[in-house]
Amino acid sequence: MSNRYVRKFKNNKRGYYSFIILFILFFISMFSELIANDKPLFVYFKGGFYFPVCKSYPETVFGGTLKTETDYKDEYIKELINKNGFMILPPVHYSYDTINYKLDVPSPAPPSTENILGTDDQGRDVLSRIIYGFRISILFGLCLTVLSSIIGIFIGAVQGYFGGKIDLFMQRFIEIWSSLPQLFILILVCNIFTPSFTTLLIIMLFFSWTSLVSVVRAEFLKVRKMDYVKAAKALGVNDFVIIFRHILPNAVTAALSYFPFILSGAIVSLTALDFLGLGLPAGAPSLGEILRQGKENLQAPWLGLSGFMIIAVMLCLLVFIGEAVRDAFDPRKEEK
Amino acid sequence: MSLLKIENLSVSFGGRTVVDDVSFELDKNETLGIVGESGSGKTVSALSVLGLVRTTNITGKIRLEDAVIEHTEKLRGKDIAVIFQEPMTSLNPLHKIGAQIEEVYKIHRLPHTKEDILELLSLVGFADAGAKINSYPHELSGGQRQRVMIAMALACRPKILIADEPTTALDVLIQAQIIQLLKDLQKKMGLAIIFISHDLTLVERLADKIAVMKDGRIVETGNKDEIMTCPKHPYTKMLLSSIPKGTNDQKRDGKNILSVKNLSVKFGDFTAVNDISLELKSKETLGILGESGSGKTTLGMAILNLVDKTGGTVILDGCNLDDLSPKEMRKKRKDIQVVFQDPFSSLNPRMTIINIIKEGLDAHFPELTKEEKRKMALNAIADVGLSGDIGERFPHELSGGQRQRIAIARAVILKPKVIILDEPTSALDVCIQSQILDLLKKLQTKHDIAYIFISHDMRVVRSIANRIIIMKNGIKIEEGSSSDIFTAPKQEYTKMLINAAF
Repeated sequence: MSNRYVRKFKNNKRGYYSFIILFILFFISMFSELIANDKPLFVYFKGGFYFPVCKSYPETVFGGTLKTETDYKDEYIKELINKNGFMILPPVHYSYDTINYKLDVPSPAPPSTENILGTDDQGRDVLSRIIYGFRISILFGLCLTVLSSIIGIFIGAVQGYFGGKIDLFMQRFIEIWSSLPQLFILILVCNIFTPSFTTLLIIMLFFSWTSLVSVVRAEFLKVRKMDYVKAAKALGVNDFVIIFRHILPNAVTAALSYFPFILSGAIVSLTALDFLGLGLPAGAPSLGEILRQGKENLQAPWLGLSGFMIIAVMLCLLVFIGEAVRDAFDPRKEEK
Repeated sequence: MSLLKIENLSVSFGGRTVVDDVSFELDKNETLGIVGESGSGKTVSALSVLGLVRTTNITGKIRLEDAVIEHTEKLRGKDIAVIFQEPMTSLNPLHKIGAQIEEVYKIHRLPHTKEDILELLSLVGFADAGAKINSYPHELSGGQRQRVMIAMALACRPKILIADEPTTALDVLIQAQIIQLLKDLQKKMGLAIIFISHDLTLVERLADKIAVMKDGRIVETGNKDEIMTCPKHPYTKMLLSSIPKGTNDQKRDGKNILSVKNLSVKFGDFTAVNDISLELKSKETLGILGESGSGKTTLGMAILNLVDKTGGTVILDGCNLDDLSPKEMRKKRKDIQVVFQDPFSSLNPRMTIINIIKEGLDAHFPELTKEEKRKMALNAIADVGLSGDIGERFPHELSGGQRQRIAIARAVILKPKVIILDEPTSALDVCIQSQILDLLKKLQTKHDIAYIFISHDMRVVRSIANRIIIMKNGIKIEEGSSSDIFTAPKQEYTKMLINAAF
């Protein structure tokens, strides 16, 4: 059965390749520290091997005077290391929070050989911020999707399987809950708490868990009336086994096809909050923040364009994947 | 000169030939019955006469009164009219009956008056046509809706009426009325009728000629009596021999295995099962007969404790089921099993056959090893006449008959004392139906199981049950041995049912 879904998914070429591209991008972005960093990947100094990306070394190690962590952008340090060995730098020489102090023009600086996509208004490299921002967006989206799916499937399952009063009350509660003005409450709550990755996740979870409940509930209501569930009851199988063996696998396929759309929704809301300045803490790499800088610095179009491009590509890929997943689970669409 | 002549009609969809070289003739005042199992192409061959089949791959000639017809869709309504199986969905729920009949006249630009519509309605048997003309479809019963459909079909005074399983969705009494109506109309209007059905006994009651179809071909045509008494083609012979026959006269005098006392089930204000008591002896088959909505399935589910009863007791093998805790009840379920009507929804599509059969063993005999359970499951598969290699397959890879055998194996493997069979053969073609009935009889003697056989089909119940209960609107109308019920029914309702079915 599951093989059939995979085959149908692969049949949708656009969705399948989108999935491969997004997966590769995500996989690469997991190693952002090795791609965009102000620390060298590897230093060979006086016969010793150093890995500044993984471990911090004080300047004294390389013959400097300060006991603080080495600033490998410092010309003096560079000279010291190059005299007694060498260092390998990552492809992008800036981390998301590295400020380029050697700009010839006031920031935001236009694209140059040093900063391929230019810098933002604080002199930070845009390309590096996009790489880190992409990773944090996807990670945040995945966490939010998985958590809200687990809660949604659990609550939908309870409502659908037991039905009756439990279902009635929870359904009314969800109706009231989801008619609350989400964005305003998010703004309010974000103003009270200092937002961080986890607090933001929890706050947004408050509202996003409802998205799957109705689907799972409807599927449970349908499947629990099926004769094979009745037959299992007649066989004397207990409720727990019936839910997990008979109903859940048949009910969750419908929920699975919502997965990519919930993911893209989560990314969009994170971006929106960041754009309003209420999302991730100041300084964190976020796509929404790049967009906001683009809005505030219309004279620096590289900010807006870069932010727009990466968000557009990411959401397009997700929507294509979503369509393919939806078609794969659609029984009316037969395999070609 | 025949009224309608079909010559070498072939229809194919996407390379698959559904109707293969079919020819038949139809005269005025004549009824042709087309009989075949599901998928035999009987509906497609009749509907392609009207161009109602959407494919370009139709070959063959259609002659109406000797003239070759090119654009068959022009015949619709005026010369040839159709009625379909499902009267519940064939009428628009938002419009009154009168307006829907009037629409037929308007489409064909025929002059009409309100009297015409009233006349049509009384023609199809509405005594109060004046009142019914302003009714909405939901105010009518299934049989009445089918009458309205017939009225609409007859509005333009067609020469030919195609009836595609017109009574299959209806109860047996209504079914007999509609058949009678079609006969009367034929006499009054000189109609030619093409009657399509899977039910040979039904076709026998109406048709003059019968065409038997299999896999898109007509395997045999002939007069009704020829076909019914001396069929030539082996397939026709098999169809005839598959009609359930005979009665089960054996008396069972074993001890009571199940007794139900004053059982009632209410859903809100509606009483589905009203104060029913019954006894079941070991190795006995008790038939429960009733029309749809008579509460027979609810009764079965209440005995199984799958529906909550509102009154009465169920005593299984000396043990009152009400006294059991949920856990003890689950243990007890080993002794009473169930087989459902639809073999397509009674097996979990995500489990392999062997896992489906093993499930009861997992619940009741956790002490058995995997290998032992597997062996028992394979034995059960062999018991229902299938080969063991089916075990690794999924339900969707099996036919309807095979699935029903698996559902039976799942019930039998627990060695239950009672099995409730809820219309176990109604979703199956007639040949498969008789095979399943034989299998059930064989398993009964082999494993000493008592059956409660729930069905609406008089013939099937007569062939398998020792005793019979007739139900109507949740009430037990009559109870007696199979031979008593069918030869000397006491109640008027039972007599009506028997007259309608035979």
